[in-house]
Amino acid sequence: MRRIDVAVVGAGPAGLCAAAEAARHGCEVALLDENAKAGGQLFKQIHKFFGSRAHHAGRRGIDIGAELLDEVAGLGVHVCLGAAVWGLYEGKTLAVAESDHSWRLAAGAIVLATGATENGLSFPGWTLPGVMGAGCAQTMINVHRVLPGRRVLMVGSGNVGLIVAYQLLQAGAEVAAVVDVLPRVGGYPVHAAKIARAGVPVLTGHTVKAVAGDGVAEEATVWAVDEHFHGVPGSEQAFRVDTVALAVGLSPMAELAWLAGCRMGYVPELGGHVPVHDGRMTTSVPGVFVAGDVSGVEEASSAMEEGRLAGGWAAAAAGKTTTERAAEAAEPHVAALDGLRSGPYGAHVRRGKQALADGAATAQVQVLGGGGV
Amino acid sequence: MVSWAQREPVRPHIVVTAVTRRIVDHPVLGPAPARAPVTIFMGGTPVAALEGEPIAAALAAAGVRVFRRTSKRREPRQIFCGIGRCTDCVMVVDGQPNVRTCVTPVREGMRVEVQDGRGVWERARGDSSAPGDGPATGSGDGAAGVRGGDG
Amino acid sequence: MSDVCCDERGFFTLEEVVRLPGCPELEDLRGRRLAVIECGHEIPCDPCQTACPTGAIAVGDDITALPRLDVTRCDGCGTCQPVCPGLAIFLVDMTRDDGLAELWLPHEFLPLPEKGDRVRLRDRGGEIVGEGEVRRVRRGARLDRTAIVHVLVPERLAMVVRAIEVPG
Repeated sequence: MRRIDVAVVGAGPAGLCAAAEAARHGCEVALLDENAKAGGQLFKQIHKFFGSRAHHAGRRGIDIGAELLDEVAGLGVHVCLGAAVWGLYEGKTLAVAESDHSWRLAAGAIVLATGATENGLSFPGWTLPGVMGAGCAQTMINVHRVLPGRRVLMVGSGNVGLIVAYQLLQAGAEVAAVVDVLPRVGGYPVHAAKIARAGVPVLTGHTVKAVAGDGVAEEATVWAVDEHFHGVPGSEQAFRVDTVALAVGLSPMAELAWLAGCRMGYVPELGGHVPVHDGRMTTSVPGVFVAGDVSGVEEASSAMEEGRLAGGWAAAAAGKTTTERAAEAAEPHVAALDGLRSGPYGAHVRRGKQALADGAATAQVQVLGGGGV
Repeated sequence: MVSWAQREPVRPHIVVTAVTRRIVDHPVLGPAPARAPVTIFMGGTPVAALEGEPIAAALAAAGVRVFRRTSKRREPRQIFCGIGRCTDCVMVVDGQPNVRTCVTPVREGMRVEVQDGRGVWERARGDSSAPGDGPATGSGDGAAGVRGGDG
Repeated sequence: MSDVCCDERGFFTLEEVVRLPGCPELEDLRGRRLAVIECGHEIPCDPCQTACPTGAIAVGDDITALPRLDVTRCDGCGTCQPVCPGLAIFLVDMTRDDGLAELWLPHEFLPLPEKGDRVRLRDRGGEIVGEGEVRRVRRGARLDRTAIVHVLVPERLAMVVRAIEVPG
């Protein structure tokens, strides 16, 4: 069985940063990802990021991602792609499956940076070819350079919906409309402004009623909702579209945390069940850390800062650096996170992370076999 | 007031070729990088693909909209998550069912078929000449318990 | 005036824009070229402040604050334009005496227009409000793949037009 100081599961922005940080503290690091390429969702973010200069503001996600890959490679991190971590056992042992063999890896500390998955939305016709997650549409256009369809209805006006709608225009698709069930745009209004001035209608207080077609999506019917979010009969509008993209939220993929016996909390503000953690990204299981969307759905900028925190503290847990040095290294990242989470757009995350710290949201989890790794 | 449904749609750009849905040029990503052509076969018909791309991308570019039919009601499905997590996009590839086309790269001469329900293994168990994973191994797509999706 | 606000509509009205601290007073625009920063929400973000070479843009230490434009310092250089992740900064040039204004619009679509093209003009809500001539299209490393399209519009539309139609 192989051994490593720090194992990081997930090579998206959080995992890349965690691996880099742990390596900087002198750890031998393994970075594992089930995909063929590292970067997670980062290489689909072709737009410029917000924040301050320290947060890579004004730089495109694709460029930040390329830099992170270089940093990780330069630090000698062992990057294992096509490697799915399917088990987490005692002794902080990971079970890893690749295409033709399985192996185990024992780690001094583990960082779970497995991200989040897109939610679905069910309505008549939601399974028809052409109805897909907004992230799926984004992957198709920005990674594979293929249009999933020619005319799209976007459901959801959070940042994912607004940004992907804009990127669909850039890719050469038509966007028939963006609808959101809430009475206001969910994401940054500047993102909405870019698509509005390109001629895309933004219909707040509306949702999709049904999608129909001859074996494939051909028409989407949208209607207004009342204050109870019930559709208003008579308010239907039909759009001829071949694609309906659903941008209705993300849910953390915390399976490995459940397996590890971490205490979990149900926190709607963070996207659902998340591992209980603190400002040092420590879970209830010593030596198991979390970072990025798996710890609460936010954005890439926050994932990178949390990754640096988790990597540093994992290095301390693995015995390769002192608590003092880890705390010193953590300071700028804690400040950066506070900055990113400030203001009205960060309120829900602040509430969610605080609920975990307060213990207000902890689900009573029956841990089989004593738990803990 | 003009109803939203009647509003003039934003026109598509000429950056997308008329025949396929490939994005040949892009304001941020630039021109599509050159990649070697690969031919795969969908139900016997050749489909132009590009080296290294997932099967689902090649099929989407060619306008294929139905990848499989569900077991009970034979309803059409195509793609949902696009990153290998949901199994909506599985098809029969070189005789092997339940292959996630969104994360499986094309190979020259690959045979892709619309999957019917859970599909049928073309090869006998234990045949190690299967291109990807044989049905008896536990990793990758196939017999690792990946649900092909029912409905 | 509508009761519907920007957040419900998805874009600002002109009445909402002129109240923003990043928007010059309309009389300050006469005979000058100035930045118009249409940033009206408390998003943590400050690259405009960092980019401005004359110190005309102030956000402050709390980076959720709305950027404020000091028209006495702004010389219309446009350095702020490409760094705004929200593509919310427009340069308005009213120095001409032929009844036209020149707008600098951030533009990230293909096909790019060319100098001399006549293009249809869109307002913040995407409505077509007129036609204009493209004077210049700038690209470059500093712009980081955001093109700046210089388009001539009727003076009365200088604070109305915010995009050009992209031809099919």
